[in-house]
Formats: sequence, structure tokens, C-alpha cells
Amino acid sequence: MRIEQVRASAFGPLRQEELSFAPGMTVVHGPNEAGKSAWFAATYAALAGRRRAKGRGTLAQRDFADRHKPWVGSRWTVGGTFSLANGVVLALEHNLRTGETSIVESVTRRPLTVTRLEQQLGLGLQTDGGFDGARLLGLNRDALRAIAFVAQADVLRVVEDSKELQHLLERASSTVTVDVTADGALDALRQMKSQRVGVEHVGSRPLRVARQRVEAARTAVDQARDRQGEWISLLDQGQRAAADLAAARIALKTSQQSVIWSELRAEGARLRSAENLSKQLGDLDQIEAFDDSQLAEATSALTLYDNRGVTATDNSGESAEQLRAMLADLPDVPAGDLETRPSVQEAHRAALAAEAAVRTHAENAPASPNGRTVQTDPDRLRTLASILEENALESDESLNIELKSLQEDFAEQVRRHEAELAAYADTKRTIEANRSTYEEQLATYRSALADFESSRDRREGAPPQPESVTSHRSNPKDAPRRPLSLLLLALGSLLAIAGIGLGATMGWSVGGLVVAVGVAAAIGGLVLGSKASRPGSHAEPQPVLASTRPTAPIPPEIPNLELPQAPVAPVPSARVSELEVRLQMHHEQRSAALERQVSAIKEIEQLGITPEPAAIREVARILDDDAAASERRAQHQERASALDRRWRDTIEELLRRLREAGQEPPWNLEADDTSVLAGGAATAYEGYVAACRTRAEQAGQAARRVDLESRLRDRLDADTRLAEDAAGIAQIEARVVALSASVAHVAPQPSDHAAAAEILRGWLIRAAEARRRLEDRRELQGRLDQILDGRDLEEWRDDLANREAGVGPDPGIGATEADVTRHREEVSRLGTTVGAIGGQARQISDSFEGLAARIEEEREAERELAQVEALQRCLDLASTELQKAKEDSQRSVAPALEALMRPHLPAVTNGRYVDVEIDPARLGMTVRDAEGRRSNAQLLSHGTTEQLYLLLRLALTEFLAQGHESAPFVLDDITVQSDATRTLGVLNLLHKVSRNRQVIVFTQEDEVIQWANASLKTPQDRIVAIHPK
Amino acid sequence: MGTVLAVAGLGLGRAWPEFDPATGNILRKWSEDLLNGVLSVASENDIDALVILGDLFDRTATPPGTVAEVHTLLSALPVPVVVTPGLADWFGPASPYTYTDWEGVEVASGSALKACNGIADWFAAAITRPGGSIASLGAVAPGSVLAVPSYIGPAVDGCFLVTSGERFTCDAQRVVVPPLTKPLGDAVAVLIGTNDARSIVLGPSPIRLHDLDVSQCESTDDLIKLLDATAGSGSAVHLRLYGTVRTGVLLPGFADWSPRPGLTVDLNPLTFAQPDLPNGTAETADVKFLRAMATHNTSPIEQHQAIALGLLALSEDA
Repeated sequence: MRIEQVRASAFGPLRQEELSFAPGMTVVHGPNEAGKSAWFAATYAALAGRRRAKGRGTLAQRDFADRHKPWVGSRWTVGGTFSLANGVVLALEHNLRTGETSIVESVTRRPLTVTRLEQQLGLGLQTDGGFDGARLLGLNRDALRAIAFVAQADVLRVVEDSKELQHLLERASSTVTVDVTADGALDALRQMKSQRVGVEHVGSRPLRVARQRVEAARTAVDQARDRQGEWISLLDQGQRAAADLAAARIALKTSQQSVIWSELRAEGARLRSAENLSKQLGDLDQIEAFDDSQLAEATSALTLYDNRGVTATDNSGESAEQLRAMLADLPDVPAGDLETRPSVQEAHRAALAAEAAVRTHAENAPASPNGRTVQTDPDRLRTLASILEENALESDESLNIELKSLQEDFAEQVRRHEAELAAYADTKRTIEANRSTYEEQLATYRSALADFESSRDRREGAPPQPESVTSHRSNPKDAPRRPLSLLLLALGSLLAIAGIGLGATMGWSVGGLVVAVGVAAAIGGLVLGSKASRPGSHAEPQPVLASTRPTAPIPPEIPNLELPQAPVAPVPSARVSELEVRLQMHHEQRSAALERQVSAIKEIEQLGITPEPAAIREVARILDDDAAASERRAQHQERASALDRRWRDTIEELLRRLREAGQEPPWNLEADDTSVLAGGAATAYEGYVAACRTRAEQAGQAARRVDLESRLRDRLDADTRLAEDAAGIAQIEARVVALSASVAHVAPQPSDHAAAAEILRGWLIRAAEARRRLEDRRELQGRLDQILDGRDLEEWRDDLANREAGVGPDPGIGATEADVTRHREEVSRLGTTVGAIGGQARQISDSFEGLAARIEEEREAERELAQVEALQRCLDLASTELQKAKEDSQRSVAPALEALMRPHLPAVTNGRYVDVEIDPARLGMTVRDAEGRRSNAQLLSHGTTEQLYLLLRLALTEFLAQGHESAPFVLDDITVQSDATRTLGVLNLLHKVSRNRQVIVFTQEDEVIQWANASLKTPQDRIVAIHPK
Repeated sequence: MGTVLAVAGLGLGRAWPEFDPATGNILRKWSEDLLNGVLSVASENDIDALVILGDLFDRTATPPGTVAEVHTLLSALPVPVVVTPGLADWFGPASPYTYTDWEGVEVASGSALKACNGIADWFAAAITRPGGSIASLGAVAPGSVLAVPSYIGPAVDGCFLVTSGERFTCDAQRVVVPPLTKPLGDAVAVLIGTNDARSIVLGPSPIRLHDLDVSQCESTDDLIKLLDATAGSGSAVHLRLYGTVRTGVLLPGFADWSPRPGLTVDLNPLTFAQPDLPNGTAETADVKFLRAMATHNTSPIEQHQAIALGLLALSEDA
């Protein structure tokens, strides 16, 4: 693209003015206030137009409006004519206040709409709703301003902070239209995901909300299913219960019919019974009548007659006289005990027990001792026997063998140590020889080094390069540091060598210290030398040009002067000493044991005992047995005395009890001998027992008196009653005879009372039979009346027949009232159940909200969740692929820009830098000089940085314009900060660039104008002067 | 044989999970209206019997209360009513035909053909297990009419087959009765005479169906405007989108737009445009992103929408 002309109808201070540009390079110059910056902005606006979208726009857009609105009037218009590579020439007129643009194709003078032009060129030409000519270049208006329109302020800003251009680089690597960065897009995706998806477990973003909705919807479906299932189950139960109810009603009806038939059958039976009773009553019409008073009198008299008894004719047993004689023969009751008293018996048993104890104890008297004559302590004898049994300690041969082996090992170690001492002395001598040789080589090296340094000082007498001047000027103290560093280095080396020698001879504590001091001094010298030789040089002398500079001497190689460690003398094992001590102790213990045995044998022989351990122990055992027997005998005697005392006490107690019972002993019992006393007591006890037995027999005979007196009284009473009974019986018999004649109407009156009684008894039987028949008739009549219950028998029969005919068939199941009751209860229960189930079902029905809607809500929630998850997958996919694309593009953009910048780099840096590198990760820029040293572009001098970023802009416009129109390059006072040399370099570079791309330079610098007058000679270039108004 | 009114797929009280709850409610109300419509047709056409060929209910969702009400309505008809349980309301334990007393209505309860009590020469069979079918028609007397739901096998020679299917068809051997409650179509019953069968339209679906070509939508905003304008408000609407979605256009669910209740959008017929890569050898991230996405192995819709989201992000930061 070429900018042919810019028309500022109303733009800043410009009104109705035009400015035309050459196709190659145009230098527009003028003094301050001539309007160069206004023309620079107008050129930009003529191409890019202005946003049309509502709102205030960005800060940069508002700043542009503030700076470039017309100073007078309300119109704000600018236009231009632009030639495209395909020959199309467009005349654009922008109303910057409204953002509207009119387009005319200059050749055909045909106006075009933006849409038509877009269709014609196959490009989108709008940004923020307004026409954007930068789209023709593959950019947008912001990118165009940032890359192709370079003002002095932009240059200065880049020098201060390169982030803006780095951001532009990022945008260039991100999108074709250079309008966003990939990082920005990734942030936007992340923000979209955060807002429209969110995370699963936290917050209230759609993903979590959708999951919660799905869970809630599923729960609601489950609950509705359960409710509906419960409802259906109830209906099923209701169906079954209703069927059961119908069956129960049938059973109730059948059982009721069966019960009615049972009643009819029972009533029929009663009817037949009544008929039978009626027939029996007919048979009992003729019954004889009797007088009840006569019946009672006859019955009474006959009863007395039957129970009158028999008169006793004689009384068996003793007569009254015999009984009186027997009473006279009975003895009196005796005085004294009839039985032995329990206290006497108890005292007698105690005396017998005490006597038995005495005799038993006497039978168990212990044996006498053996009578041994040895008078000594049996324990001492056992001690002596133990001493004789001790074995003399035998020596442990294994200890001797081990001790001998250890002693031989130690001797071998001593021999090896002597051999190592000899080898160590040889090594020490060799190291001493190496040290002498190294000291000679070091002296030679120092001499050569001094020659080399004097030669180098002579060569560096010439003036240094500018950078070197700068660096030396900034470090004035470096010159005196260098000799000091060499001195420290040499001194340190000598101290280290001396330390090694001291360590080998006097010990490493002293030697090591000296070596450490020497090494520290040498390091100090090296550090000092390093500081003195920077920048761009090394501590060691090195020729700048290999063809003319002398070669530095090579220091001698340091031999190995370290002494090996001196051999250490062997030390005998501690086990040897331990074994020797143990063997000595063993010997001493054995001698003491032998002495003790000799002394014991002497002592035993003095006691007259065989000096054998078994014999000694037997004597000790016998002595122990004798002592024990004596002790047992004493105890037996003491026990016998106690038992005898107790026996005597029991005998005296027995005698005392006998006296209390009135039994005196036969003689005086004051004897000392307990046995004699016991014999007397036994005799007295036996006499007491015999007296008791005699008295008991006498008392038995005297006791019969009471019985005999009673029997005598009974005998006298019986004799009296016999006489009275005989008179009563005669009277009863006479009455029977009289009655038999009067009531039974028997004539003549019987003389025998037995015959009269039989006549009377026959009369009573006939009367009783007549009475029984009469009562039977009354009972039958009562039963009949009861059955009929006031009914007429014939009517009843007819009624029953009618009812049987009307009740229907007999089910024949034999049901009872209990069955009817049971069936009635079953019907009632089932009716209640059916009603209850119906009630529950109605309750569910009333509150049921519908399962179908819940299922739809669940599916709807699942669809929403699936949609959110699909959105999540798409956002993740877009982020992943965009991240990879970003990294890939940054890797590819960096080399492309490097390739575009590299050919021009020496020209804009006056040959100082030959290569450039762009970091793909952070898009930072690094330059490299001819010697390969790298520098961050941001840390170079301002002029160099500014030129590098200018070159980067050129490269960017070339890079971004690939496949599009070539972008013009418009610059406003960009060489103000450059020195004369770099200004010329930049201008020459731009002139060279203008062969392929239009370059417009606004300037006020005489240096630039002079260059333009000298260089822009062809029609491709132009110099335009503008003047202040 | 007389005149028999045959209907199928009334789906009373069923769930419509392919639609949102608002639309589902509308369809359930419609199915109730259709039952009343069937009763009206029955009375207006002086029919001899009513045959319901399957899916009168939905076992999983129809409330028992609805079943009882339907039984009341059907049993009150002055003509015989035969119900053949179908795939959605197959006969068996806990089915609407077992937990409710169907006195006055003849319900086929076996998978084998059985003579109908109320209609001479008619035989009926039911589906009796989930996902089941009528395995065989068996041997019946020539001249019989066989009413079996969802039967797709061969007809029996000499007999006339009445079954349910997707759409109404009729020939010399069989008539297919379509589902009455058809969300995106007309409700159709079939009147079967002695020598012919004809369909009766009971009314259109309450859901408005629109086929929308989205090929001309250049941006997401264009698409959303088109959807809003077509869907309107209030009634149930089903939008079936077709055409090729342009690059960068975000579809419902991916754009920050959700359909209102009662509006369902079918994206299945859509095709998706591949992004146009810029001319030249640009190696910028957006170009590389588009190249990578163009060959990414994922579903076409997610591939297209991921590209659209990426392009949206790349433009919003401008």
C-alpha cells in the first residue's frame, strides 16, 4: 500500500490542507509549530479512521480525540488517497466525530460501501463498528499505530519500558489481526469457565448448581416412585381385601342358614317330646288315695319297731366283785428314780472315755534312744564331710591354648609393623626429592612470567578502544591491584609448599595451618587479579592477537608432595591380659581347697570317726535321731499325766452325780490310785442302775389301779341300762300291733307283733307306690306345659311345618352360633380393612404430585448438567489447544523476526552488534556482538536500544504484512536521540527499506534535512517542507 | 363386525422426558383432552365397539387415580370396550389393569389370542412382559379380526389384523393405528368398518414445530435473535435447527443463552462449517489453534463449539 495523499479538512490545527507523499521515501520537514505532529496523526487517522461503537473508548482513543479535534469548528474530518498493490486506488473520507467513512474508487470515481469493498477484497475492514484501513494491511488500527506509526514519544517509551512492544510481539504471535494476545484469550477462556462452569464442589456456579439439581431431581423421582408404589400396593391390598370381604359375607350367610336349620331341627325334637308326654299323661289317670297322717304315724311306728334293738341277757368279763378284789391286790407307787438320770449317764460316759484315753496313750509310749557316745555337733560333721567331698579345681586347657594363639598373632603384627616403617622411610625420601625439583621449576616459571608481563605492558602502551576507555575510567584503582595480586599469589604458593614440608616433618597440625594460610593468600591474589583485569580480560596474561603477542609461560605442574600416613605400632590384644588374670585366679583357688581338706581329716580322726564323707554323715544322722527320741519321750510323759488328771476328775464327777441321785458308794473312796477309785465308782453306778430298774417294775403294777377302778364303774352302769331297755321294747311292739289293726283294717287283730309289723309294712308299700305315680303324673304335666309354653300342640306342629318349608335348603355344614359370630366378626374386620385401605389410598391420591413431572424435571436437570459438562469440555479443549498453539507460535515467530532483523542490524548499530535473539517464552530481545557476547537490548545505551526497537518495528510490519499489502512506515522525529553516526545509519536503513515499502519521515533536524537533500534524488523520493501559519 | 373405533398410544399420565416439565404438562393435559375427544367420536359415529391398542397408560408414571378415572369413563360407554395392554402398560403384576377393578371393560390379559366377549369375530392379545411382543398369532378361524398392539410380523391368511404403529396405514390385510398423543403431529384415531378403515384427525399437537435454517446466521447474536423471534413466548414450541452452522457461532447451551420454559431446541440435524484458515503462511497462535482444532478427534458439535469459544476468547481481549 502507498499513501498518495492526506487531506486534512478539519484536523487539529489543520484546515483544508493536503500533503502528498512519494512512493519511496518522503522527508517532511519544518520548524517547531509547523504542524508535523498534526500531519503525522492526520496521516494515521486518514488510513485507520476512528471507532464507531458507542462508549468513550479506550484511554488512548480518548487522548487521541482530545489532542486532535479541530481547534475551531465542529467538523472533524480527514481523508486520504491510498493505492493498493492490485491497482485499486481508494479515496477515503472519515468523519472522525461520527466514525462514518465514505469510500470512492479514485479511478472509476465510483463510491463504495464498506461491505461492498469487503466483498470485493475478501477482507473484513471494520473494527469497533467503523471502517479500519489497517485491516488492508492485516492489522487493526491499534496495531497499526503501535507498529507502523512511530512517534518520538513511542521511541522514548520503548527505551524506558519495553513491555509495550513485547506485548505487541505477543499479539503478533497470537492473532493474524494482532488484536489480542493468546494469554489474554486463555484468561478469557478461564474466566468463561469460571463464570459459566465453575467447579464441582464449591460455590454456586452452573456446574455445581446443575449437579445439585440432578441430585435433588433424582431424589424427588425416587420419592414419587416410592409414593406411587405405595399407592399401587394399597390398591392391590384393597382388591384382595374386597375379595376376602365378599367371601366372608357368603360364609356368614351360609352359616346363618345352617344355624336356622339347626333350630328347626331342635324345635321338631321338642314337638315330638311334647307329643310323647301327652301320650304318657293319658296312661296315668287311675291312682289310689291315702291319708297322709296315717301314713306318717304308721311309718314312725314301724321305724321305731325296726330300730328297737335287742335286750342284753348277760354281761361278759369280770363282774363287779372280781374287779373290787383285783383293786385290793395292787402295790403302792415306790419313791426314787425309776430311770437312770441323764446327768449320771453323761458322767459315766465321760469317765469311760477318759479311761480309754489314758490306756491308749500308755500303749503308744515312744522307744528309747540308741545311746551313741560321740559328743559333737552333727552339723559340724556334715560341714567336714562336704570339705572332704570338694574336688580340687582342674585347670581349663582351652584358656591356655587361646592365650598362646593370641601371643603368636601379636608377634606377627610386630614383624609387619617393622616392615611398614622401612617402606614409609623410603617414600619420605622420594617426596623430599620431588619437592626440590618443583622448587627449581617454580623459580624458572617466575622468571619467565616477569619477562612476559614486561612485554605485555609495553604492548598496552597504545590508546585503548572506546569501550575499554569507559571501563578503565570507571575502575581507576585496577592498575596498582595487579602487582599486589601477583605478590599474594607467589607468597601463597610458597607458604603452601612450606606447609606441606612442615606437615611431613613436624606434624600436620602445624603444617596444615601453614598450608591453609598459603592457599588463602593465593586465592586472594587470584581474586584481586581477576578484578584488576575486568571487563573483557582475564586474570591470566593472554595475547590479544595471536600473531604478534608473546606467549605466556606455563606454570610447572605441582607434583604430589603429600606424605602417606606413618604406620602405627601394633598394640597387644586386651584378651591376652584377661586370660592371664583368669589363669592366675584359678591356681590360687585350687591351693586353698587342698589346705581345707587336710585340716578336716585331722579333726575327724580326733573324734574317732572314719574320715569318709558317708561314715561322717551316718554318725551325724544317728546323733540327730537320739536327740529327737529324747524329746518325744518327755512329751509323752507330760501328756500321760494330763490324761490321768482328767480321768480322775471324771470319776469324781460321776460319784458326785450318784450321790445327788441318792446312790452312795459302797466304801470310802479317798484312794490315790485312780484305777482303784474308778473301780469303786463303777460298782456304785451299777448299783444305781439296778435300783432304778426294780422301782420301775413296782411303779408299773401300781399304775393299773386307775384302769380297774374305771372298769368297775362301767360294769355298774351297764347293769342299770339293761333293765330300762326291756321295758321300752315291749311298749313299741304293742303300738305296732294296734296300728296294724286300725290303719290296715286287718281283722282280727294279729297277736304277734312281727306279723303286725309285716301287715303294716305292706300297707306302707302300697301307699308309697300310689304317691310315686301321682308325682310322675305331675312331673309329666309340668314338662309338657314347659315344652308347649302356652302353645297348642296341633298349632305348633302346623307352624313348624310351615317354617321348614320356607327356610330353604339345609347347607348341611352343621354351623353353630359361634360360627355365625366368627363370620360376622370377619366380615366386620374385612370391612374395616377395606375402608382403611381406601382411606390411605385417598390420602396418597390427595397429596400425590405426579411422577411424570418429576421424571421430566430429572431429565431436564440431566440435560442441563450434560450441557454444562459439554461446555466444560469445549472450554478445556479450546484452552488446551490454544495454549499449545501459543507456545508453538512463539517458537516460530521469534526466528522469523530474527531473520528479518538480522541483515539490518550492523547498519543501525554501526557494526557493534551482528546478531539478535528473541526469547520465545517471554519475547525479550538479546543482541550479540562480533565476539559472541550477549546483551539484553533493554540494558544497552538509549540510542542503541531505540535503534533496535525501531528495527524490530520494521521487522514486525514485514512479518505481519505477509500475505497482505505492505505497510507504510511513518516516523516522527525518531532520530532526535541518535548521534550523527547512528542517525545516518537509520536514515540509510530507511532509505533502503523504502525500496520495498513506503517510508515517511517527519523531522525538524538539519542533519536529516541535509541527508535528504544529498540522498533523495530520484522521483521515488521526495522532500516536503511545511511552514507554520 | 359392525363399526369399531380403534385408538392407540394415548399415554395418559405418562412422562415426556424428551421435553421440559412445562411441555410435559401440556402434553398430559392434551392426552386427557384426546380421551374425551375419543368418547365424543364414539358417540357421534354410532360405533359398535371401542378398541384401545396398547399404551393407554404408562406403567412407570401414570398415577393410579388417573387409571381409576379412565376406567370410570370407559365403563360408562354404552358399547363394548376392549383394551389390549401394550409395551408401555404391559399386563402383569402391579399393572394398571390389576390394581384397579376393570369391571365393564374387557382387558386382554394374555399374549395368546382370545376371543373378545363384546365384539363378534374379534380376537385380542396383550403384551405381558416388559419389552415383550406378540410372538405368534396362532391359528384362528378365517374371517376373524385380530387386535394386537405393536405387531410387526406377518398377517394370518384370511384374517384382518389391527395393530399399532408409527403412522396410519391400511390395506386388505391390516390396519395400523398411530399413537394418538403425538407431540409433533396430529392426533389420529381409526374408524374400522366392515369393508374399510379410515383415519379421523382429533386435532393438532399443542406444540408448535418450527424448522429453522441457521445457515444465514453470521454470529451468535444473529442466531439468538432468530431463536427468540421464532419461539415467541407463551405456548410450547419445538425448534428443529438445520443447515450449516458458521464458524464462530455459539449454539444454545454454549452461548450465554438458555431456552425459556416450554421451548425445546433440536440440534441433531445441524451440520458444522469448518473454519477458513487465513491465506499465507501466518504462524500465529489463532491460525495454529484453528489448524489443530480442524483435525481434532471429537464430536462435530463439540469441535465446532470449542473453535467458537476459542475465537470468542481471541476477539474479546482486543
